[in-house]
Amino acid sequence: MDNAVETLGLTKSYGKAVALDNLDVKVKPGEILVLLGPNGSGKTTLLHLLATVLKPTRGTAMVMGYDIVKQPLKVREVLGISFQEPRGFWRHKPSHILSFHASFYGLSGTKKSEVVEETLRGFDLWSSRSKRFMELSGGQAKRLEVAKLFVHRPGVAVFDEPTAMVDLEGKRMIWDRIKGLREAGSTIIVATNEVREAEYLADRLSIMKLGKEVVTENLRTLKDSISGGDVVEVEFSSPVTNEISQAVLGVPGTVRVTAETESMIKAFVNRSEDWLPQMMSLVQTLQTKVTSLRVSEPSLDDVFLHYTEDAVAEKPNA
Amino acid sequence: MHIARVDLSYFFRTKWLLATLIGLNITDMLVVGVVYKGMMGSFNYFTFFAPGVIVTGLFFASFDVGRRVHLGLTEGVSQYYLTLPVSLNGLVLAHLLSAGIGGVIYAGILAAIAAAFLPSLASFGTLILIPYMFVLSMGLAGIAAVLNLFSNAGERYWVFTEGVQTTMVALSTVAYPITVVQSYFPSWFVSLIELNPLSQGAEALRSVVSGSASSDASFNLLALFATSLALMTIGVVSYRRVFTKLREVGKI
Repeated sequence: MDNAVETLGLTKSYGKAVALDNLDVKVKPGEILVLLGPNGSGKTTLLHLLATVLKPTRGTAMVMGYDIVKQPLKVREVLGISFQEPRGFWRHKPSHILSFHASFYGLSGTKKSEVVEETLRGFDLWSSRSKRFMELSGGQAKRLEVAKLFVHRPGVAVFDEPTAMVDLEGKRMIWDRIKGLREAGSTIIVATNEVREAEYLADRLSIMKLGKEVVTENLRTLKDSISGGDVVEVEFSSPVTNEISQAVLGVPGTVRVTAETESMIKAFVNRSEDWLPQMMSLVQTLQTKVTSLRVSEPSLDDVFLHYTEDAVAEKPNA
Repeated sequence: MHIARVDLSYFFRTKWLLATLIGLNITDMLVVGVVYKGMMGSFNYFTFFAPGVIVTGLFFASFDVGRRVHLGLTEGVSQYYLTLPVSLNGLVLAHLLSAGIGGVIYAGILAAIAAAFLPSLASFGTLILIPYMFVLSMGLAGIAAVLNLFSNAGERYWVFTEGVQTTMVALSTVAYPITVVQSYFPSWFVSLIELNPLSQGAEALRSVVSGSASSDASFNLLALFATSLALMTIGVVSYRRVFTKLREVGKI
């Protein structure tokens, strides 16, 4: 099995509104793919389609080799979803909710009780185990929703905004647990619009917009794909002449150069790690001296905005 | 079975609902039944009315599955069920099963209270009726399923429920004998009341209490079973459609 999940022209429409448009995405076994996109980009729709909560209008997807249209029951055995909004029975207690969930995946008796207790403790819900679902705080309910997947540890675990409503400490705990789940062998898909979450978790990122996949790559490649995204501030020991500026502009990978002060320039370059050695050679050739260098690369915010604001963005490998 | 158990437990966990239902039914049975008995001279209205109240209780309890499914649809629990390794038919049957069991348990509680005043209710005949009451309970839940299907918008479900419950109880022999209806209404209307599953259920219980049906309504267990089965089939089709629609349109 080359891919744990593969969508094949997956499309979902509600009347004339297209929520997901002919999507072809592949997720490798054991990786964490983060879906990043603004509201309405189709992330949740994709997750609901994979979890067989929704039925595609066209196309299909394979989950661990099972077709979501033809074999939904098989898919449900191997894939688990943690919803964006916690789903629970108002009058039931967290322990009942997890116990109910565990019952569907072959857990029973003492083993089930042990797993439920371990999961409640692991998600800091043990002290709230006797509260009713409707009495839990937003963060507790969300942790409970995420915890469901740690009861049966599915082959493919799908999280929709797993840390929404959760405090900072809780976020880090959930992220680490998701990574732990991957270490234990699960393939993970996370939908989020929180850039920090994406940056922390993603092996690869898929940026979505208006129901389409804009780009899917690892973070490094995405950052490198922004033309002139790396910024290098170079300070010389003497005033920057026009000759120096022109020479810097001529270094392969330079997109543009601006003068910051009399002796400092700012170069917008592609892949600073390739650009810097060439710049150093140039400095020797020009027989001048560099007193300081500062390199900054684009943040994921920059990448996200670059791809979601630019409707005709090119894929890095295109 | 897990879903049926959880669904059923939700009915019994909604304590304010249970308390209200029990309170109303017992008030009806003991106060109305006893007062009317005193007013009617030779006609023992309590003996007539108590089985009707028990069947009404069974109706309300089994109908509660509609409320639970409505909440499940609006709050997303039904979507969660769709992620579990359960088939569509399994999910549908779980809801109907929980309605059936809930109705019988609730009616059993009322019957136990009534038996304190009507010892004939605590008989072998009542035991024989339990499977029929169970199927009747699942059949009545089928009506709730139809309401779930046609009331996806917010409060419409509650309005429909009020209307259907009031109409079904009013147009039945729960509170008055069929002879009263025959005196005032055309035959087609009488037939309608006789066909009402609540009439059939009430008459079945009355036959246990007094040895035979206490009114002239044509009654037999086969008819009760057939009506219940027909309604249950409608319920299965309706809930299948409800959950299929949910998968097509997303959250309702």
